[in-house]
Amino acid sequence: MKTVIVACGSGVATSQTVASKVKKILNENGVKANVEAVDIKSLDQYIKTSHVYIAITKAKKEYDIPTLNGIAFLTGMGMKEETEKLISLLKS
Amino acid sequence: MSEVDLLHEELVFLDVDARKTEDLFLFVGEELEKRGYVKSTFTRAIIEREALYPTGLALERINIGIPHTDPMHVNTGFVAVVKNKYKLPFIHMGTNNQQILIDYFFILGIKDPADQVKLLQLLMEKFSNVEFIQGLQSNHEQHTLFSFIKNKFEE
Repeated sequence: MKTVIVACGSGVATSQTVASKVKKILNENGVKANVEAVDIKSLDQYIKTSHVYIAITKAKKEYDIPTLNGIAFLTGMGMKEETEKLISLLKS
Repeated sequence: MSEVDLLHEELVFLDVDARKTEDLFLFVGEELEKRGYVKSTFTRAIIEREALYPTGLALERINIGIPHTDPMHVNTGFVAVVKNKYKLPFIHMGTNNQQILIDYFFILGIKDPADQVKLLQLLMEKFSNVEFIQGLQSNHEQHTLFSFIKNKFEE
């Protein structure tokens, strides 16, 4: 099963909110994946075992896995496009 | 805990006269500390965290800031609703330089991370609702604005 990682400054507020939204969306679409929220400082260690990174803070460096816009999942604005990208990444 | 319990009439601050965003945090932080909601480290923690991980959000109908920090700086959970006399600049979440002008700050003080998730979900749902935004903008007094938000949280 593929892993989706969501990161924010603390790993407790925004990232968990986004992670819970993403889990719900994947469920509704019948897509199975692990969705985890972490704090940005632990991102490097988690990214190696993840397939998609949903970013809430601006990245200080580039990661070699696909990165999606987490704010879209938080506010709902632009969420449809990010959802489509996420699902196609997880299905591929 | 229900999200509505985080709302307190004394934590609705309208017509704040801050020249800079930092002044607004200093003012609200002092009020929060005086009333026992936060520790003396709260304001500094908010300002520092905001510099690293900004929380401005340009939504469809309104620009908000949702500053928050770690539970260790908080005594009792709360949501403070703050409107300055004029809009203050703030950095948009996920960027380090995209400035937006904030209509309302919802300063979040959370003790339990599990509550924080529910609270953010609820806030985002409300902020995407046109009726909620209109109500925010048409209630100009502490008591009426508090009652309005409380009713909406209870829906």
